[in-house]
Amino acid sequence: MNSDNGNFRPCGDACGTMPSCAPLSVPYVPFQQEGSQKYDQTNALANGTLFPGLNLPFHLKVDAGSFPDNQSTQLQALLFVVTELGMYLDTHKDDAEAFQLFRQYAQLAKEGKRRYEEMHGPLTQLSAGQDAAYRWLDDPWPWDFHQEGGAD
Amino acid sequence: MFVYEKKLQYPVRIKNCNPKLAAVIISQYGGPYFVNLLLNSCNKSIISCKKHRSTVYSRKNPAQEILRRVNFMPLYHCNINACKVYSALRCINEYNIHNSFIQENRACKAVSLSGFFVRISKKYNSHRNTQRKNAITVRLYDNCLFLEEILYKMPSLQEAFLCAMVEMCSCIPFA
Repeated sequence: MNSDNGNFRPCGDACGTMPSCAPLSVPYVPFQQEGSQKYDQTNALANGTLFPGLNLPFHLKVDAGSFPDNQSTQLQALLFVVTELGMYLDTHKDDAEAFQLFRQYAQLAKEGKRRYEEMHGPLTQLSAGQDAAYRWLDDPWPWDFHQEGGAD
Repeated sequence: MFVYEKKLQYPVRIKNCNPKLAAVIISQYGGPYFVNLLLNSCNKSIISCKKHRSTVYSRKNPAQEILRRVNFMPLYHCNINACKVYSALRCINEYNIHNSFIQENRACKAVSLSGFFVRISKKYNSHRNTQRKNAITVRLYDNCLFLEEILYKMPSLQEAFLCAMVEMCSCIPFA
């Protein structure tokens, strides 16, 4: 999911820009550039960040393929991308390409939640109101361990 | 404001029963008291936001940005950590504990909040080599059940906390 939308990007993908003028004696961190490269959702969840440029080498290598391939993980991956893109947009609200991607993922996550709730019961107490019976208290809860899957 | 969702942000996979690991993870909550847990994570978030102020310095109201991050992150992390603790202790069922006993304790809410993390890990450490090990482990397990109950209610605690934070953050100077 690379991106090259013609933005002016003076630095490489793993680098950011700094203010040309800034108050003295204040430390700064580089500002992430628009149009940064992005992982797909499964790799984003496995790496703990959506952006390869922010994936610093001191972490333990995680194998994205080792996640159980179930609805729960897929939903986690979708919502993780929404969270990550949301945090990015908070500081880059004019990045139209990122916002377009945000809209797509928000739609996917909404659909994913709907399908998950059909299979596994309500995710929030509010959505428990749509069922014929009160299923909010049904197991499993997130802390109920399932073989190979964590909360499934 | 914050809504509990019956899911985690990240999958928890702890395959083996390991009460010692559970005690270590509990120490990650940040302090001996539950209130300290909230305070500590908020303090850390404020510090990290201050360090990263170049990413928020142009916003009209940086305090809002800080508050938003302060309040989301600890919730995610606490939920995941609590599930790790719970997973590490789930084999307690195999210690001949009656299921009904556990159910009964799940319903029991009369546990004091203050000092509860320290108390259980200290007790576990000091008695881990004695015959009382199983009994202590069960207590740890009970407390984890209770911990889940707290996390379930935590969003509303956080919300109340937010109001106090607004006051604090309004005086943070920004470059």
